[in-house]
Amino acid sequence: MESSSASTSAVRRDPPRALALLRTLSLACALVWSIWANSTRPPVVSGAVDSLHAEIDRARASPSMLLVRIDASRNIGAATQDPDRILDRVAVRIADELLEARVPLAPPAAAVEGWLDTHGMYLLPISSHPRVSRRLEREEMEASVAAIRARLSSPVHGVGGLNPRRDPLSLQPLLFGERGAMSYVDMDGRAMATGTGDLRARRTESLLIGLRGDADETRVRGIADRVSESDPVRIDLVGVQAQDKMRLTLLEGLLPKIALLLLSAGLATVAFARRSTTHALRAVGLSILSVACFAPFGPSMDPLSIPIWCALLATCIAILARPRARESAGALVILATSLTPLLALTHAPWQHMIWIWIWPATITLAVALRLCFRGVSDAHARDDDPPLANAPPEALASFSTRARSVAICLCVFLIAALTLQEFEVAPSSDFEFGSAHARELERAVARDFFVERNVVRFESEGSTVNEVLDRSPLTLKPLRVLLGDVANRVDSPGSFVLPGELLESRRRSLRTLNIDEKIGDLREILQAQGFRDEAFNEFLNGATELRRFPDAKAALESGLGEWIRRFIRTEDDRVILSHEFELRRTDPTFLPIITQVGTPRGAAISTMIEVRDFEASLAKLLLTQLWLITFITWASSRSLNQAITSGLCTAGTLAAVLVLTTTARFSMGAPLFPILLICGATAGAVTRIDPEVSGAKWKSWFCVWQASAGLALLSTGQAGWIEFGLTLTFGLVVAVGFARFVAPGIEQMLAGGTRARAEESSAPTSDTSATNVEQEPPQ
Amino acid sequence: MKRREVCRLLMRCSGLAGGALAIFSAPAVGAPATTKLERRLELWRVYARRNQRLVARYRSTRRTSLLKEPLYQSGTLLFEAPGRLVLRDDTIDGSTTYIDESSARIIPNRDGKDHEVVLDAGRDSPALRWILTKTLALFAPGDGSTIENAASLKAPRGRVPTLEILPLKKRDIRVRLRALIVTLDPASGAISSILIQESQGDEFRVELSDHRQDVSAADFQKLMDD
Repeated sequence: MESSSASTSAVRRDPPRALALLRTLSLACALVWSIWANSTRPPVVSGAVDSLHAEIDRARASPSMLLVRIDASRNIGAATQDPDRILDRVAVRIADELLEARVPLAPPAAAVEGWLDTHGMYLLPISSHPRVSRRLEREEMEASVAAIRARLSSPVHGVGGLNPRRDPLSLQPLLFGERGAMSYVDMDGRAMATGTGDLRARRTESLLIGLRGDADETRVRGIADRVSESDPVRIDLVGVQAQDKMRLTLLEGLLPKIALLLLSAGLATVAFARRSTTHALRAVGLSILSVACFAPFGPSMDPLSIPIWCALLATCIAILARPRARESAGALVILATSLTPLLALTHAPWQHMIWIWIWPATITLAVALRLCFRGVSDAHARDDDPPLANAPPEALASFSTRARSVAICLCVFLIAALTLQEFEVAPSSDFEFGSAHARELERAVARDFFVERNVVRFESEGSTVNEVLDRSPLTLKPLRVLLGDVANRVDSPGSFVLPGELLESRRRSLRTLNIDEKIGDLREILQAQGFRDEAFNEFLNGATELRRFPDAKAALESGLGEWIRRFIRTEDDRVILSHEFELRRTDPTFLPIITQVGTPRGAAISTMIEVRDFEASLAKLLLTQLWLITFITWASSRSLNQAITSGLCTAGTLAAVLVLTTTARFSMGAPLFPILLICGATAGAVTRIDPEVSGAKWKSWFCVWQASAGLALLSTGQAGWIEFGLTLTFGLVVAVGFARFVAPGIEQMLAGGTRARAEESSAPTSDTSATNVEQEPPQ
Repeated sequence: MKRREVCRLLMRCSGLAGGALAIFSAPAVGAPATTKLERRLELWRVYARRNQRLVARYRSTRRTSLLKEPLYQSGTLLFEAPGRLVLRDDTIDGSTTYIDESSARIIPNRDGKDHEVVLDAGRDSPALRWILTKTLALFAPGDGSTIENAASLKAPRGRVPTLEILPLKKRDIRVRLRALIVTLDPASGAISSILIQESQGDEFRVELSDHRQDVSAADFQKLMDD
């Protein structure tokens, strides 16, 4: 044994030339690879926070919008103008300047009125025709007209919104079966459609103007700036795309800062711990190289993945900075498989599990680079920790140590059991990242108009525009059950057009009602009861005009055409039409109802799945990680006691982190999974890193180096990242606490006390002996 | 001689002082507008103070482009503080309107149940909510703050005391309602007429007479049940 140790030491002090050549070669290969990979395929930086959503649910195609609000600070004094007039003027000016870049967000009010006047009778479903027939009977019509006259003697008739001109027989309620079925036409929601199809908020002085998806943003901003200069308004670009761009700008500013902070913190702490600047520079440099080799192939650098990239870089620094003698293969494998439990998720939010191979590959490369530098590293290592055999056995064997360990474990698990009774799940779409102004804009749109992320789409296909539009009422019909409890409203051309087969059947049915004659009677009744029949001409003329059909062609040529085209797109010679529903909220209990009627798409669907599956996913992840760490520890040490100890420390760390996130009311959702797993894996790894009590300081340093990622995140000031940073830092502190203060006691207790442990110390485990073989003798 | 000069000087000084007084008191000339409004509100307060239960007769006129001729009705107004108002037309061709703070019900006197309309003054009907609040506040005892709230109050010139209540510049109210004009009795302060000017040009005027204030609860209930 001694001779072996001596020869090993001799080799390390004087590394062979072959090793130096291998080191240079591998370093050069890694360097060339990273430069080539980063130059040919630079890492993607994105401001989107929907990377956990299924690709098909992401709102990439949703158009941006212009939010116009009255600037009260400029509309004061003698020059005060009526907000309505300002908004009307601004809307007209923007429409004139934007031209084709603008799209109606709602069916224009005048176009809808004209459409209903002309085609109202056709739009009534056949099931309502018996009731229409009853209302067209002479006695019924006389009673209806008399009731209108009677109601006119009420002071609140007009102010209350009663307007019998367009519907003297109260037929429209038959047309508007459910509130919200005809977009903004039949509902008194937060907003109403203007004459040009913009949305006007009811409660605030603001206007929302839709933009085409391919609108030139620079031109739009230029127009907005010009208009806001001449009128007392503030104009902002809003919508998912605009929000993503704002976040991207912010992210691009923060990335250098966070990288600099992380690397500086790593450099300083490694230099301090190892008392060597060379070590620090080498560790940080090789870490950057390791990450750079795989960054182009990893997930895009967005607000949700940047914390993981930081943690990966910090973990590489920690691996490369530690003295070679103080690590075990088991610990490295645990660290490399930190994110492997993500495989257990049925719903794969983490970008198709790309992290599952990027993380271990980077760690493996870091370990490989470290192996290349083994000789150099160990030649300069300052290891003044005495080996296990030199430690006083009393310290390890004390009863208080074991009792303390058990007590800490029990306390943590008890607190976790009490705290985790109830927690609120926050979906990834709620992740807080961005400027306060951007968040305020998002809230303003949600409050005054609609919640964009709650909009889901149902799609139908066809070969031509007319075909898909003609069929749209049929594809919309089963979806209408969502209106009411699940959805506020539906935006769909299917509410306004009729397919050919339905047109024919309705025409036949309407002919049986003998409408021409009945409308003639109604005209007489109106005159007889003192009404001016011309005042009801929109209804009287429209009801008798059955030669004009509400078909796809007429709809596209009418004032509704521009709005209808918003729902139609062409993909690979297929014409696709969308029906858009605004859900009341993203409640997972809606999912069975929604999926029963169709195949919905939209961020809301992914959000609901994410929230619904959160608890099951969390349980799966934690159990998988516990099993994995226990298994790896057992496989590397062949000691069940050590395996159980590692598992217990991991479980304790995870429980403590969950307690923190719950009590501090952090956003608890799928974005937190990797952070939890990293904390758990670190707890398992640092328990295994050095089984010797006297080498405990390296456990602490390992966590300090990793925690530099958390500290760098904290410094950014972004709420979401601060939560991530705090969780990671806290988890690592708890991990090292468990490794240092709980693991020894538990392991001894499991080993059967002092005597058993003493026996073990005389016959060390394979892993410990392996480590001891590699140890450098104290200098 | 000296005495005359002193007298002249005194006269000049008094003239200057008078001029100064006139100048400094000039802003008071603009005050009558406010004073007039205050006076009229005070007049109304005196009347409304005793309106715990009010019964009055009315004659209503609706001018609308829907009808060839104005629509005249007469009926009984019943008000119980703080927020219950009923306008019951006398004839079978008329209707009965029940008003409270949150809704209005219009029931035609003939076939009422079949053609009853309930207007909910919820969040989405600001114009209706505004008119209901103001109408109830006009009859209820109070200091007038409810009338002034979310409205612009004016006292137009003229011998007949009139209050013009305009909704503030809110599109969702003004899209339906232009103004509410209330005429008071110069002696008693009783509301003699209410004119509702709708945005589309229609007008509804109700002229009140035979005010019976502080009607006993039993009598009031009897009138309500009739």
